[in-house]
Amino acid sequence: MGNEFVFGNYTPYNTIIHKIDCRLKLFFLVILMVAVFFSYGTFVTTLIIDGILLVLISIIMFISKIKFITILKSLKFIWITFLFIFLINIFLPNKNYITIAFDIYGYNIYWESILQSFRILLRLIMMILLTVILTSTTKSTDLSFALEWYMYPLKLIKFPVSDFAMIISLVLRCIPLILNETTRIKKAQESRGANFTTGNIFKRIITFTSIIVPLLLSAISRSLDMADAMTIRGFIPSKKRTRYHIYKFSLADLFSFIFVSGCCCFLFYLAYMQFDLLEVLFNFTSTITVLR
Amino acid sequence: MAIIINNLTHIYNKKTDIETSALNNISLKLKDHFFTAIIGKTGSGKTTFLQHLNGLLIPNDGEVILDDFKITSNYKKSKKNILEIRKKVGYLFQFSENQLFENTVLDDVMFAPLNFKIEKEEAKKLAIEALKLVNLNETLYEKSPLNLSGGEKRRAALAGILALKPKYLLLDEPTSGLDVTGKNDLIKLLKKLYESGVSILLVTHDMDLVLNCCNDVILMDKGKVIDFNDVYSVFKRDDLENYGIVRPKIFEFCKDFEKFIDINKVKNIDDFIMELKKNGK
Repeated sequence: MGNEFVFGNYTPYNTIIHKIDCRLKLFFLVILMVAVFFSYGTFVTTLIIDGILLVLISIIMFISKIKFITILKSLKFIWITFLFIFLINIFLPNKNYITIAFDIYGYNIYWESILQSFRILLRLIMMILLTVILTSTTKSTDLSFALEWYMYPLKLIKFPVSDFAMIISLVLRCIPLILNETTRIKKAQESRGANFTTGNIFKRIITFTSIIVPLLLSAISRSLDMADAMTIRGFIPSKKRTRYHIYKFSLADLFSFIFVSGCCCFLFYLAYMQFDLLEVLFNFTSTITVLR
Repeated sequence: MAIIINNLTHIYNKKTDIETSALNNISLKLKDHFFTAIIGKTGSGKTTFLQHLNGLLIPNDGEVILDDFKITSNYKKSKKNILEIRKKVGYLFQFSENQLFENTVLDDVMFAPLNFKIEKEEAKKLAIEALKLVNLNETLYEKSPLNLSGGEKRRAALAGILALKPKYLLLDEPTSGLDVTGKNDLIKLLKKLYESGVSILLVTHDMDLVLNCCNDVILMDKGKVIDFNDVYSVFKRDDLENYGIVRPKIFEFCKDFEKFIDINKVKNIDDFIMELKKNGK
């Protein structure tokens, strides 16, 4: 009983974030991600805005009852990737870096590269958090509908929009299933003495094949079963289907749209103008002092 | 030596918004040589309990003592013991055939002995012994495990566990998905293993299997042990249906003959006929 939490599972709470229309949530995800990956003039300005965005995301997480620790626990598998990205960025040479922090066997490590690595990691984490917010507060069927809705114009060029949306929805639904299956197979091999945590890298890679092979076979078998299950329930690809739920925009959707779009427009304006936020704040406080 | 469980508690996703209490302060002692079943509704904590006995799960509170080795909530302290415990305790997962991955059946069965640093020749010897024990045809040893039938795959997976000659065998739903022949073969094998000195603890919804093979039953509900007694005492409970358990038909049938036969000796239809004959009926 009680499978371990897997990243991105929908949790049915009754919060305002859950109630926002799925099409809007997908739109918010895209514009917030763009805002996260923008460069805002000077480095300090970008860092301040990243901080503001992180606070904004934390507030959204708090409202939608997603605990940060839950996500951290489920991200334990990709810490090694984070570390790898961090190290790569630290050691990546750049002519613009000037302030040496320390050197390793004659290879200079710059403060700029360390800060840049932190910035990239922060942005990756924010991107993951935004995705988790979307998938934790939106049912996969709603997500599929939202994708289909946005791709509607593609129907004009006979693109199989509903099939594509169904594929995306099934993929999203399968991620937690595959993670559960991975845990199950890992435990099964551990009970046969397989050790995934110690030993040299080559030995570990070989040991990991004991998870990968059964996992692939199980995923293929599961997908074939799912295809059969859909077929016997009358699913015909490309055939027009009716909907059980009617999606309508509400007043809360309008307010959330104004709020998020307003915030993002302000951020895009800052990015466009390439402000030095510190200088602006300094000028602003100086003006107030002069006026007084 | 035995298995002792003290105040075992397990909570999934602790301190998160989907926290679930799976085991709630369980204490019990399994005798030296046992053939015990864990029964209960889906979600009662049976598999969670079983996984603690192989160190696949670490308790949030309490301890599991297996012979001289102890697993507590402190993973670092328990880590060494877990490896020792895994040598002694074989664990057969539900649909264990899905864990086969090597090129040949023999290689797959050798996986566990090689992991425990047994020499290749010795591992091969142990693997062949285990394959013979589960009655898998010799012609299949060099075949890919993926080309075997469902029943054969299950037997190959079981051989993979038995290759280490475990003292304790934990089985999670061993008969699910097996046909009648496969089930009967498995029952015979389990009885043979028990007679050879292996202690068996299995989680099952198959009450015929429980009556046929087991000596004791642990009845679980909502993460607690409701009853731990011999099979007949548990099956005689009036509230059994409240825990999602339906008694085996042969047991219900025998109850009508309770005056003529010793119901505690009936495990299957053959026993029932023998009891009737013995009592001249």
